Amino acid sequence: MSQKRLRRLTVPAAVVTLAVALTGCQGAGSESGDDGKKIVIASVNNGPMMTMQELAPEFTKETGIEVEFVMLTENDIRSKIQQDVAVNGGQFDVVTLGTSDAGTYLDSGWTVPLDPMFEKMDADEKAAYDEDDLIAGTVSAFSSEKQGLAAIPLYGESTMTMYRKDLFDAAGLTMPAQPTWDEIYDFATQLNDPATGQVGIAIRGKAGYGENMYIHNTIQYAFGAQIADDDWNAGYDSPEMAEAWEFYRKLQKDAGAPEASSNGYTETLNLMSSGKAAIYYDATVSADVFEGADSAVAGKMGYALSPAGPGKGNTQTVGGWGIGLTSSSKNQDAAFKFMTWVTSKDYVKLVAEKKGWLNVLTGARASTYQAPEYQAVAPYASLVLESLENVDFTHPAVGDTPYVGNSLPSIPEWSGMGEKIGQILAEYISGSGSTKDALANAQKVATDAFVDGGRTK
Amino acid sequence: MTLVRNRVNLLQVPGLIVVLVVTQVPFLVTIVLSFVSWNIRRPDLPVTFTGIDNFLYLFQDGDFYVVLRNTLLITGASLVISLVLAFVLALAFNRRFPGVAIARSLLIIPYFVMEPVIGIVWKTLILSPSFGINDVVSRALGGQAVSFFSADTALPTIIMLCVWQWTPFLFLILLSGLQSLPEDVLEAAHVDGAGFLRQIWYFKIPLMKPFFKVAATFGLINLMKVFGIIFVTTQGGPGVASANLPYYVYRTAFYDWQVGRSAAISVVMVVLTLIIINVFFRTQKDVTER
Repeated sequence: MSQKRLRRLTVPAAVVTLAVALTGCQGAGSESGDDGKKIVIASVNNGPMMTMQELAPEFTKETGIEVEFVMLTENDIRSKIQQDVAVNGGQFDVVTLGTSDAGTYLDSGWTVPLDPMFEKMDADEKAAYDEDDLIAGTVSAFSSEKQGLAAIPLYGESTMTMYRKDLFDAAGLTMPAQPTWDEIYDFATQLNDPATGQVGIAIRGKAGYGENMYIHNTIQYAFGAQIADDDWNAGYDSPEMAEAWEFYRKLQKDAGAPEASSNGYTETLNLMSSGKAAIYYDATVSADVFEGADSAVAGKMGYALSPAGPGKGNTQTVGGWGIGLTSSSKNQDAAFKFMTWVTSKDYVKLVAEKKGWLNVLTGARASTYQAPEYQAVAPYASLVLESLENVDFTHPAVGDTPYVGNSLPSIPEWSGMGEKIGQILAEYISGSGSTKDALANAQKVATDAFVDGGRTK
Repeated sequence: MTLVRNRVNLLQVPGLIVVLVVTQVPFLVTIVLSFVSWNIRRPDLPVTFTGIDNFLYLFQDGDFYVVLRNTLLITGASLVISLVLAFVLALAFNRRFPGVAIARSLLIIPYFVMEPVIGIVWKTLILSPSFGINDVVSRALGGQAVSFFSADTALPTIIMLCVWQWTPFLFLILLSGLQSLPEDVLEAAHVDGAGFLRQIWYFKIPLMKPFFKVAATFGLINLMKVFGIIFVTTQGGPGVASANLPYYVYRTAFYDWQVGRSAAISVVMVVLTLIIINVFFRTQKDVTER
């Protein structure tokens, strides 16, 4: 290219660059709707939330408020929401929050307290909404100790044992209503058959604070271990913890899926619903999938409570998603309207009508479990309600803990330390390293996290 | 004339500013951040200046050295294997046979596929021991599915995927090199009795050095910053068995929420990259000048 030609190109190029730079600056400011009638929701992209997105036009029809969704997978949406609220970005009005986040977000000032917003409702609205119908166990998991309700529960879930009744019958086995982990191990090893590709137990192994740690922490409590004592001394050096880790590795090696450390929630769910596994221990909401139309195991499933261990029974967790209102939202009233719409009794009916009763949001409202239509399609309804009502959110372990929350402790350090310990645990079950070394690493990670967080010296 | 030239130069200023702002300012900010202690998840803890604490923490962190070794292994092994494979493929496809155009296009498809898509397809459809082709083939052969993402195999698997993705691009560069070789030299060699291998070793490879250099440079730059494949297949695990520096930066920033530490890793990474690229160019220069 000649010099002259090059120079002739420079001028338009400079203009275009400047224009792009200027529009770039402008775009950032005008995102969140200037007519005051549009709200943006950041949500995890699991089944119930996809339904929420699908049905949102009904809300727009009723109220004229437009709703826009940003949907991502669990790890990604948590990260995205955290990045936005921490810098007061104001991209989102409504965000979905897990149980371990809800309280922290409110206490950090990233979301607004919801109790005052409920008080502002008039009597008719209050009666129609019926806040007392929300299940107490779930509500406690979405509240901050100091400031009350932090997120309205969209759905709650607990954990329970799910198994293939037909396989158990064929092998002459019977699952007790309240199994122990030793019993689960016996059943799983008996039904494990690598030759036919049948896995004894499908249980998460993939690293992640909300993946393997979500499930393994319930096992840890069952064996009497806890992540910290009441003075924030990390608890990974206790004999109970060693027992819990050894048991988990033994279970995965002797009866788990091949390469268990790459299986998270989705992978284990697929193993079970495609008929490749005999036992499954995970979130109660999975039962809806197993009884659903696409399932290879519909009608063949049996259900039991979460397994107990030598330390503690009743270790089932409470998890799920709630929706919170960001402090940076400029349309808080419109956003709150959406939040109460999507958690109302009418919404349950709307979903039932459009998508069938198996797709309604469960775990949030007691009235859902009392609906005869739901009981007809969900044989496990009473078991889930029992699990949820008995959840011990404030005393998850045998000893006292300085934190609340079951398998997702409600402390801000959890995502970082849980992720790292999750990696150590995944490596531990996939290799043959010593328990002592693995736990020493975990102990160091936990201690560092508590020191960093200023909880202990 | 000078006046006109000056004015034209002035018009470049906005562009220059934009380039500076988007490339240099973030880097300076990163350097500053590498000296602070800042946990995004704990707004109640103050953001404090901590000197070189973040770097000390890093150098005392056993995982960091594993990650560093992984980064060098992923980059080095993938680059060498891709280059060799690409050259062999370029030799094979540098001739006329029916369907050569279609064959070449098919060969370069992996380069056009996005990293996360490569990761998901390979992980769930091909290598998964429960649902993948892995399971079907192993079963047909009478064995059990091979474990591709265990502690020992995750890193080789990542290297394999990188090779799969980057070989086609290097192949394109080397093929164009082969096609631009002077016919008369090769013909003279042939007349003088140089066989197939001798032609490659004594003529094609020396003549193609500039193309190898370009291919290796692009390969190096891209392989040092592999992220998507690792993110969707192994998440750096099990443990940190398959994590590289870019992924480690991400994990420190968005799981630990430790901005300072993450910035410190970035700084170390930039320094390391500069050293490697410098050494690399220096040896390249020697090669071309000799």
